[in-house]
Amino acid sequence: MGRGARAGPARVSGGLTATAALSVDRCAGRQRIRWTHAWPIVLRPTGDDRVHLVHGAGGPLGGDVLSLAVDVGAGAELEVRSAGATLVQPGPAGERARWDTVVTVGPGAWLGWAPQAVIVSDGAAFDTSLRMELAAGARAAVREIVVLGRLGGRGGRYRSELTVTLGCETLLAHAVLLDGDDAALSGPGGSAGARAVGTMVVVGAGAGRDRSGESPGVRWAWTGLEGPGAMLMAVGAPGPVTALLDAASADLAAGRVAADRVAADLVDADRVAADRVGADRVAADRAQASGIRHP
Amino acid sequence: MTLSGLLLLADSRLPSGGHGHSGGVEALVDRGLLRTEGDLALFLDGRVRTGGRVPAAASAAACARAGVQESHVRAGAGGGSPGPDWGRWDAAVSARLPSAAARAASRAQGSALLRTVGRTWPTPAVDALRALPRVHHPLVLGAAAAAAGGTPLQAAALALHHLVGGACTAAVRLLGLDPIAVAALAAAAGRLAEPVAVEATRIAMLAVIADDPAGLPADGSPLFDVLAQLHHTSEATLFAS
Amino acid sequence: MHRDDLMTAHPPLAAGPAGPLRVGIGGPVGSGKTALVAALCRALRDELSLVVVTNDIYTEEDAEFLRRHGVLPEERIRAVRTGCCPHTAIRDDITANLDAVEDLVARHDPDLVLVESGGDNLTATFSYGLVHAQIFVLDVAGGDKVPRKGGPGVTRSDLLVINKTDLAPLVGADLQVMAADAEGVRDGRPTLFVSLREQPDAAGITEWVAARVRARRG
Repeated sequence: MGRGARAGPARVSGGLTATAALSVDRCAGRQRIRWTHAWPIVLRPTGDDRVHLVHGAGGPLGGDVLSLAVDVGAGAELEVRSAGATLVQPGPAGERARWDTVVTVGPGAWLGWAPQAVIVSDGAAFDTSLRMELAAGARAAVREIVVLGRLGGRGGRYRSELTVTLGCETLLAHAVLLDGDDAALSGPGGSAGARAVGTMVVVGAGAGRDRSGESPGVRWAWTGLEGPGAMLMAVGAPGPVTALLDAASADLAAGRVAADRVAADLVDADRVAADRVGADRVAADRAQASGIRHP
Repeated sequence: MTLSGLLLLADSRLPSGGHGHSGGVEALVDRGLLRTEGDLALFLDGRVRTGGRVPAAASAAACARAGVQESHVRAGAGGGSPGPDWGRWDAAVSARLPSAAARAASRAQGSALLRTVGRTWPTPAVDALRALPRVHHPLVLGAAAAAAGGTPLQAAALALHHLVGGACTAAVRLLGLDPIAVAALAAAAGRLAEPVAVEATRIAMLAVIADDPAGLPADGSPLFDVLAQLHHTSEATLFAS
Repeated sequence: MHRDDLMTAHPPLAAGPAGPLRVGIGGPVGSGKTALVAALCRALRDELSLVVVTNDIYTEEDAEFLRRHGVLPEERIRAVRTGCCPHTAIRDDITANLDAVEDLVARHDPDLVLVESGGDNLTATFSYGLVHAQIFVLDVAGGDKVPRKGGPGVTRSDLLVINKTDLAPLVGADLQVMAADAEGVRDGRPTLFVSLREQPDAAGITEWVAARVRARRG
């Protein structure tokens, strides 16, 4: 369904510079995915509404400047995954690697953004940003996991900026600075020795109630944002953090399926609910359908 | 006049609700993640460089915005006009505090400080903060600093001073640390905070000139937010946050 | 101004914060502040609308205690955490308690607000920016010399309650001495002896509080 194009790599100051683009639109009930590769960012559609990100060169190296623009058109649905973890490695001259993503989600559209973990190797430095611009009525779930260091490592420096706007309001502006080699940033005022941080933001679909917990290997909390969204944060060891985020994703998917089913029922119900009693029931069902289940 | 007002705003004895908040220290102490003076020093270093940038910049921005208002009033240009609209800047602080418990703590302290500075410096900018139900602490602090004749940089420094002071006091109370040693840590953290205040003020001034709070720094800390949520629902805690 | 004038220079009931009567209840740890709050709630809840702000360390167990004894619905009780400094929260920096009081007043429009201090020492006293009247609770087990020692809680409270009179013979406390010492330092303000265990309705104290609610209503 899609048409792929490929741009050649450009080397700047020893690193790769690449800009890739991905868009999906919905026309006459059919989804159309279009993309532009830019080595080393490879995009591979794996379904009508799903695209996998593949890192062609084994992971960003210091000096790489990569960017990706994603547009989900009105009413379209897109799930973005990655084929594997993203391994950030030091560049030859100690430069930082950079990856910026800008995503626009149109009215009534859905984006599920859940790539696998970013692993920042010892000695590497990674700056990343994800800017999500949602139109009113758009919905999204965005998930990020960062792991400091490979097994036995302490990890390098990771700096991320996550911005979520809904309509003209900023729902979330959240920058995180982690550094396994910085005593203060990996101390009690930072990550307190934890190697993994997982984040999931759910937008535009009604937040569940706040919940939190701690078990060996992970401390986590779901918290409502000031606006129509909620955020899950998990801090701990890589395994438990990933497992917690996976469970949250699965739960969210199940909740979406349930909500979609109720929504489909509502469309039918709307047609027949001419009487007042029926309309009340529809309103109640609709309120129920707008909820999101937390893990 | 300027100095006396700023000293009052820096004084933890000024009624402003701060004594009931530990700035995240109690949750760390309860979990054994902060035990010693060395841990406290690392904590202050980490907080000042990350989460501290947000209140510092927000306070500086509020001071600049309120200062513009005050000078209009003094010049007779805006006499009798309502104070600045704080809603967008208040929302911008909220967007930078993912934890609902952290937002509540910021608003509780803002509301407490506003109760006091509304009496000490009832300027149009301070009064305009009352239009919001419960405003974030750095905005009140910045507007009060302006009313007291302070600069945006001084407002940013005040925000970091309270971050450091609140954490130090809580650590002494909870762990029985040597208060004299902790005073030395606070002084050292204050020195670390100075360049952070300068940088936060620079960013804040750009945001104010652009009239867009989106430019404010957004540094957070996932562990801080998770612990704020856990603390909020913990049993028998001594500090509100 | 004479020292005696200073001692009586507490504001009349009509002064102080606007809204319903606010009564502070202070006193050392274990003297019976929570028992007194519970007694007042039980005795007054049918005729008055009540809310309680507690500065005590408040746990799910406390909430369960209050639920089980049907003292007050949970939404009428607010816990304020004082950062290990109970006297600061009722005297030097009352802002958190004012927030809690005003919020409860806005939600429930009560006739009476009780503010229970966290357990502290004899120097603790409520600011009249927070409450209109204050009750200081001692118990005889703390020793019969306590009233003689004085301290603002003993000398300046509007009502001094000396609780656990049933324990007096067991701890060798002389109630006559305590009464005489209290009278000596309290400049005519009342002192009531009670055993909240034996008199859970706290009749005298209840009447003292109810009279002040009526006086404030006018």
